Amino acid sequence: MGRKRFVILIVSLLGLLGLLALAARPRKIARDSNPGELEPAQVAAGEARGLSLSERAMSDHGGEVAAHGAPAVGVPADAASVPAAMDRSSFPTTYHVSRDVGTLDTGMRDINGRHIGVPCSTCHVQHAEPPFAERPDQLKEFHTGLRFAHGDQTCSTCHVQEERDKLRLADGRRLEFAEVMTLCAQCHGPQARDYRNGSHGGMNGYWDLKRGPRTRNSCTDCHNPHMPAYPQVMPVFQPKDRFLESKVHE
Amino acid sequence: MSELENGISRRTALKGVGATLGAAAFARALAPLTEWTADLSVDQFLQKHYRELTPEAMQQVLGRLEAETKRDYGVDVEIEDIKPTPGVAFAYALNLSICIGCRKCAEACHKENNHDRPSQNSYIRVLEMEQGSLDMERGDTMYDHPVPAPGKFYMPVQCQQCDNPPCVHVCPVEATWKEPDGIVVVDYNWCIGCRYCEAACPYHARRFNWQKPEIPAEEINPIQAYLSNRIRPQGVVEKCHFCLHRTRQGRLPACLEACPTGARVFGNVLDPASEIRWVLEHKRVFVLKEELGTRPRFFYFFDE
Repeated sequence: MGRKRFVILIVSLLGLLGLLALAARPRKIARDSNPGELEPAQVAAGEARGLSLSERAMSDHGGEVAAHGAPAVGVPADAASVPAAMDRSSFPTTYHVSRDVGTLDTGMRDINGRHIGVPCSTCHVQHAEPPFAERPDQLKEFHTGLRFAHGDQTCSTCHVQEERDKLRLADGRRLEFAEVMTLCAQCHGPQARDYRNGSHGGMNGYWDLKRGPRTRNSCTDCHNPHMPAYPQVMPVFQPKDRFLESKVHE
Repeated sequence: MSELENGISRRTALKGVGATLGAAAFARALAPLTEWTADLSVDQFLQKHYRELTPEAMQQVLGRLEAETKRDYGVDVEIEDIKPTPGVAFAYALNLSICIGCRKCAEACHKENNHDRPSQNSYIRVLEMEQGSLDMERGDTMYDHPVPAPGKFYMPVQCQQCDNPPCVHVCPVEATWKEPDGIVVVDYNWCIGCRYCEAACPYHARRFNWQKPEIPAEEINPIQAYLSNRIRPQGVVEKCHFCLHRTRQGRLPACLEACPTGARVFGNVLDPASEIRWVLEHKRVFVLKEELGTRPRFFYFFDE
């Protein structure tokens, strides 16, 4: 009897060993001691974002405004300062200004497929022009198809009869069409603030300006200044979902 | 006395039991070989876990993967192993007031990350939600009408790169883990395809490769990384990796660049001057399913 028990013990031990060997097969990998947790928020200097109209320059192929630091949204042209926080960025942020801003679309495209526009002053040269229209529906001969849905603004809120190729700030100062963001920012402060801090308007390129440049849209890339509400679009890329296609969730 | 009752001695019986057990254990140990298929090379079979690969071994693996892509898809690709940058931890924020639900982000993800074309796979789902509700169960991903529709808002959902990731905890073979820069990654060559992680994720962020991805050669994005957008094998799980082949080189993720409204904000949360930090400090951000304690690195906010 003693021998039988001994044999059973041996056999069960063998079995256990086998099980243990199997269980040990998926090897364990050492875990990182600290898998990059979010650091507690430090007091930030994020508010003070640079604005430097003076640094802006039209590039010669037309339609792009380049500037170091942050955009000059909502700030008069004479205020320029670059806080230290932005100095370490070595690559520029380019603010895209579309070629059709401040021109009348001819419907034609140049050899590169780009917009060909006519500056306003091409037609608006006569000194004895009829009085400035207050609202687009007063336009009887030209620009008659212009649709307008931008609050109670009048044409002269932004346009200048005497200088058709310029825009007009609320205090009467003139503004280049390329600086249109400053004009918009007069009323749309929260959007301008968000844009200045990189959370409105979208961008392309590098999040890390130490490693590469960045391109940003300007207001009129996405918003038609005469009808600024973002238009409805058809969504792209209809998903294929094995479960949801049959609408079993309803 | 009893030794010769059945003509088999106890010693012989024990030998038999021992031999059977031994043979069974041996067969079980070799069981993975039964899964050997024609497209599984010896090198691939013997490949170590990502974090056990020496730099030289990794170079061999990358070379092999590039050759396999060339063989299977007819495209020359460059697969890199890009490591996290010290001092960089990523976070993402999405402005639900601005998002119009156009799904361009999902499309960009599809193209950037070499997703299977027939299944239209993407790491991003856009939920059409009732205004006034954050009930994700009632979100509709299949909407097909002009957007934004009245009374709706749109919530793109992708991997939330949780700091307490349930998917990582449940993986039985540690084929998925959290990197020091906050990105939860998958070693597609270590994953056994059990899909526990897919079940564990409260955000429905993981995808399973039911088939070997089909992608026309001219549509394959040749800039690839081992832990991100290289073409996945069949039978493994994949997920959003914050486009680490781009973001670890300083570039913005593909979904952000595709966004026509600028609803997406991405950056280094350890940099106090970054855009993402400004959003986290100045907007009323929230995370999805906060009560689960997953601690996402993906934030949502509305404009006031």
